[in-house]
Amino acid sequence: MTDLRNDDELIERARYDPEAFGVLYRRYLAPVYRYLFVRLGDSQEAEDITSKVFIEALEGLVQHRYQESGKFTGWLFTIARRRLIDAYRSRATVSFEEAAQMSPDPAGQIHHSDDNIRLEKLLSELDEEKQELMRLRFAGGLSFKEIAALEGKSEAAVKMNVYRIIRWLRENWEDRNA
Amino acid sequence: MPDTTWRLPPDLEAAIAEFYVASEPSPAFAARLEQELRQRQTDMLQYKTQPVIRFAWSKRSKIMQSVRTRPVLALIVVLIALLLLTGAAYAIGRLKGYIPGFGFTTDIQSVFLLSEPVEVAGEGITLRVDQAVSDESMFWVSLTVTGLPDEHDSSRAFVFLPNGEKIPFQMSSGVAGDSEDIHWAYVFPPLPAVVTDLVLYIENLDGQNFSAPIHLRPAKPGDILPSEPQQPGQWRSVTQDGVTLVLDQVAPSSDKTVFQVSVHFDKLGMSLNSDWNVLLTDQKGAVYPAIDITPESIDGNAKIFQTLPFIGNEQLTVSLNVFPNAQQLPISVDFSLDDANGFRFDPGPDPAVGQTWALDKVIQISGFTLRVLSARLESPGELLFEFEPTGKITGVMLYTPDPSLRGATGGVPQVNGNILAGMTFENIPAHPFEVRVTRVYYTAHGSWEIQWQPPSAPHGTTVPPAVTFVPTQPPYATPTLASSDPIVLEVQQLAQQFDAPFQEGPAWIHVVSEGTMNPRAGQTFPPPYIISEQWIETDANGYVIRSVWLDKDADGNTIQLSATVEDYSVNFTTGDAGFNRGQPYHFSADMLSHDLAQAKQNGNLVTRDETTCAGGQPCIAVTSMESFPEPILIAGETQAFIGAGNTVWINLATGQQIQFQSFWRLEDGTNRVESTERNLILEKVSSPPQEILDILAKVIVP
Repeated sequence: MTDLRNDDELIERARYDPEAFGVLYRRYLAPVYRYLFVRLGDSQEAEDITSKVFIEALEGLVQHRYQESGKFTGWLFTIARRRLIDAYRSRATVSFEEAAQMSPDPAGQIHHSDDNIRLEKLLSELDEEKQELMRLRFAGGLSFKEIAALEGKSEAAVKMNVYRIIRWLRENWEDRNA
Repeated sequence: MPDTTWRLPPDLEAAIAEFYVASEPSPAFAARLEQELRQRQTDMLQYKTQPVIRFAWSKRSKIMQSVRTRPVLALIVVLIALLLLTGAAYAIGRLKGYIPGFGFTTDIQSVFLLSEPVEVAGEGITLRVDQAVSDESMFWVSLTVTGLPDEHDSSRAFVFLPNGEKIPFQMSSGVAGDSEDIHWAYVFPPLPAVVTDLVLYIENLDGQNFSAPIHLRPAKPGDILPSEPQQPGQWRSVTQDGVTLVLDQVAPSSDKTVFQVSVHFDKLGMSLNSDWNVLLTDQKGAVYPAIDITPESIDGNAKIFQTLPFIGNEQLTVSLNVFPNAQQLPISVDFSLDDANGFRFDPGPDPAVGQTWALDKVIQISGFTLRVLSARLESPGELLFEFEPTGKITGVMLYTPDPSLRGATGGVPQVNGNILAGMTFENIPAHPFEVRVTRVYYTAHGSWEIQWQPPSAPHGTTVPPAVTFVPTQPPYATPTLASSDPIVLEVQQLAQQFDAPFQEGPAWIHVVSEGTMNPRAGQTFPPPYIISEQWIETDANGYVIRSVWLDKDADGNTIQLSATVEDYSVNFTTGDAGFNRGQPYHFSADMLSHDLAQAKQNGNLVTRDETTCAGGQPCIAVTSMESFPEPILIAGETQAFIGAGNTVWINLATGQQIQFQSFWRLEDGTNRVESTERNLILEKVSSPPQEILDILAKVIVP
């Protein structure tokens, strides 16, 4: 059996060992899918892009386009973002009829509870950059360091921004609750 | 994964969890995808065990190396009738995706393009015309064929004109896609003037005939004009250590120029083991934007970039960039098992963990010489071989056909300069087995540059000046964190005291800092020591408007140079460029306040110690420490980590945060310093050195 002590070792093995890649896959499937689902609001589309992300990651590993540097998660989410852009581009070419049926806010399709609706409203007041930080952090489960690498910012800046968002959410959550 | 949490109202916390985390991929999808990935990888690995050369173009050693290095995805190539044509200058473009290869024509009025893709279905075979271009020199079409059983094909192509004239194709080429798709191109003689409707007729395509009606429309300004399949390699760098940079295609339009660059190799199985980029400069050193727009369908050895439209008289250089050193490329060469050389290793009937075998075997493979010195059984399933590298070799990957093999690890450089390469087994065989070298890693040294003159934008286009201005952005007020903690308040007050004069503009701020860190085994970047220099310009309101950032190593070699003008940044070292989507901000040397407030909220232990800094200045050392719920043992470490923290030293007189240190807390209660960053210079100056202004002047903002 594959001995899996950390991502770097696992990644090196995954280049040659389908079982090791399977472990990576199972480790990151849910974070990648959740991130894509929150972005797209459509499970079918999220699954389609999740497939593309992992196939591209597999090819990248086997063909050594990814080099071990402790940034696998960031690399994986970079692929996810690129494929998202492709998806948005393809959306841009749908007919007017189809476009009218698409939700302008994919997240708006994820309705579960009153609290959830309240949270959605709050999140919708955030600018895109802040929303993306929240998605990466909570849906993608990325660490501050990983987000920092992905966003090209310092870890401290990312922490600060996420903290501000959380603080703002908390304040407004309580205010509006009151 | 999340490493920090904040205390939130339970209902908000639950809502966040529900919103972001509740959605899960369906088990059926997860299982199906895992199975598909496993099958794909098995196929890819299986391929490595077979002879590599299987391409019809195998004698075209240089031109298509970049495709050959993607053996599994470029499975077959069909060159139809090509060999029957004498004197035909043929070549294969990259015919996949929405840009099937592109070029330019000097007279846009005479160019006609496919108005929309056409799809024709037969029995099990679908043919889609993706692009068609007619100009004064030729008519060509590119198409995608799905469902063709195998590479054996004897089809022929014609076009029928409205007057019934039948024109046979002159040449064709093809390349397999990622799935069942095959991408073809046919080149025909030029069409008579003003023919916009015709029929593409493919005869005997796996026994079937296909007719595809084609409607052409005039090209218009703004179109990216697909080019005919042409001889690639018109612009090539000098080949160094087996690597060549090729500018494959260039296409101008009214508002942009698009170009494709690829990395080619002169040996089968060669790969560049790093992401790469290009830097586009002119004769004055100005850096043009090169924004990566590579579509998914292009393989990793080619990239497509977008830059500005050109007048056509610019003298440009496109150079290959690989971080951290564009003159040292990490390369690997894969060998099929038939080509792989190796040696026979006999572990004896009862190999024991810790046992070492002295070996002295020399392996010659594809021009590389390897000497294996010893083997050691690290664990019941892990066998490590130590190699003495020669030349530029940096690593080795091993393989054995023994069925008990479970995996292999690449070469890891050792302190003594030797290389370790491992194999993992279910249990190491207790009998002699073959050890083969399946991959060699080496460093290619050189400088890969192409000088070229870009095509002009289409007639009637006004090319904007190279230097443009970025839009002004609204100021962004940095909010301050409210905290009642005395240590946080003191740190905030000291930071504000120190920052205040630096936030008054206009000014130039000069910052120099040094960083040291403990690299892991095999880590090449970042180096153990970095000295960073920043030059930051602020406007009259104190907002940062331009900056230059320069990292050097202990020997003074430049590691990285980047510049930012307003919101646009260029990394001169990697070639990355783009807008930051940031908001105007004031300079601040405060790296601590917000983290500290957050640490307090997390319940981390925060302490304040009075101390003396260098020069006898009174200082405080503020430490925040997070304890892990359980010890974490990282591979290669002798002790588990039970926590992590940071210490920041602050000058009480000036308020300056002068040193930052991060550490691990070990099980025995001691700290292991991971990295230290120390400010050496932080000053306001009237102007920077001319070389800094020169760097900023080279930034061309799109």
